Amino acid sequence: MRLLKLAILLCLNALPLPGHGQDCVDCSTEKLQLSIPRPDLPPWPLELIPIKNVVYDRNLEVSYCKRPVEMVDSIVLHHSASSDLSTSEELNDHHIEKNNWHMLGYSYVIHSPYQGGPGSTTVSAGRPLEMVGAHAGSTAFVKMNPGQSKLWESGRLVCGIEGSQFKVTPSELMNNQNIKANATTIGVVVVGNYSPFSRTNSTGYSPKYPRRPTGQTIDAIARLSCQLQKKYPLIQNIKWHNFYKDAKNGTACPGNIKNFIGDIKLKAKDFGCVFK
Amino acid sequence: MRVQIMLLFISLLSTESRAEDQAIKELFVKYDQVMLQKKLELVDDVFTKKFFSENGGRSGYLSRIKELRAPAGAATDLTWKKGVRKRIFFAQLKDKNSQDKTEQHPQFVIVSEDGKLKIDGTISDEN
Repeated sequence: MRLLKLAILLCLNALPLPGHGQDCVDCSTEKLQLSIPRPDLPPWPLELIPIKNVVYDRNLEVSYCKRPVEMVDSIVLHHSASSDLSTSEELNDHHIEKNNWHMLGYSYVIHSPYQGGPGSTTVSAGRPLEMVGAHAGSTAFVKMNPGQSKLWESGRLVCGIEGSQFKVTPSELMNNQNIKANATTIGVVVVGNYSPFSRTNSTGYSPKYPRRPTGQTIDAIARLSCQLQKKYPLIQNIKWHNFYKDAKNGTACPGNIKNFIGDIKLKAKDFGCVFK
Repeated sequence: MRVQIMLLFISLLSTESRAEDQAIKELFVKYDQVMLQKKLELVDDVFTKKFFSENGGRSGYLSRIKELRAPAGAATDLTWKKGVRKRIFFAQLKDKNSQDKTEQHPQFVIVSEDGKLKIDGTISDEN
C-alpha cells in the first residue's frame, strides 16, 4: 500500500506543473511541497507581527525569577499611563528607578499612536518570556492548574541574581499553594494613557473626547496574542491588569482598553486563534 | 574620628533628603495652583518642555487644564520616592475622599530642568 502511494506521488511529481517549464533546473523540492502537505507548518504564518529587539539596561544587583514558558496560560494587558510617545527604554528606566526591579516588568511593548497621531504601530520585546514578569501586582496570586503544579514541583521555577546560582524560592512566588500571577502570565503594555484626565492623572484624555485604542492597536494586540498562542498553545486567556487587583489595591489599568478585549479576541479569530 | 565622619555623612544625607522633600511639596503646591486655581502662568514651573511636547503641546495642554473641574482644596495624599540610581523622583497623588478604588493614580515622573524640579511625565503604578 505504501509502495503504491509512493508510486502515485512519483508519477504526480513527474508531470509538468503549470508555470514550471523546462528552464526549471531543480524543481523537485517545489513539486514535493505541492504534492505532500507539510504537517510541521502552522496554518498561519508564525510571524503575524514583527517584533523589534531592544537592548535594555538591567539592574544586575537585583534578583529575578526564571520559569519554563509552558507555565504561562494568560496574556495580561496594561496601559503605560504615560504619553503615547514614551519609549521602551524610558519605561525600562522608570521601572528600574521606581521599583528597583531587574528590568522592565512587561514582556512586550506596543507603541501605537493615539487616533490621528503621528507614527505607526510597532511592537518591541521587553522582559524575556523565560523571566517571570513584574506587572500583575506583587499581591496577585492564582490557583495553579495540574500542568502548572507539575512544573512547579519539577523545581524549574528558580530565583536568583544574575551570575549566581538560581534556587527554588517558594517565598518569592508562592502563597498558600497559590502562585504569583506574574509567573503564569505574560505582560503586554500599550504605551499611552487610556484613563480620563484628572488632578491625579495629568496625562489622561479629555472627558469630552474619550481615548480609545485605534483599529491598528487592536490589530497589533490580536496579532501578538495569536502569535504567542501559536508558539505556546497553552496560552488561552487574554486578561487585563485590574482583573488581578482586589478592592484594596485597585487600579484603573488598562483604562478604556479593557472595553475592547472582546474586539481583540474577535480579531484574533481572523488569524486562527481562540481565546477564552 | 570614624564615628564623627559617619555622623557628618548621615547629617548631610538627612539635610539633602529634607531639601528634596521640601522641593517636591512646593512643586505640588504649584501643581494644584495650576490645576485647581487655574494659575496658568505657573505651568512652566511645573511641567518640563518634554512633558508639553509629548502631551499635545503647551497650548493644547493648557486648554485641557481649563476644562478640568475639581473641587478646590480637595484633600490629597502626596507620597514620593527617589530613583534607586539617578536623581529622578516618583510622586503620587491620591484623593483622600475618593471611594473609587479603580481611579487612575499614575506616578508623576519628576526631573530637574533649569535647576528646578518639574513633572516630566507619568508612569503606571505597577507593583
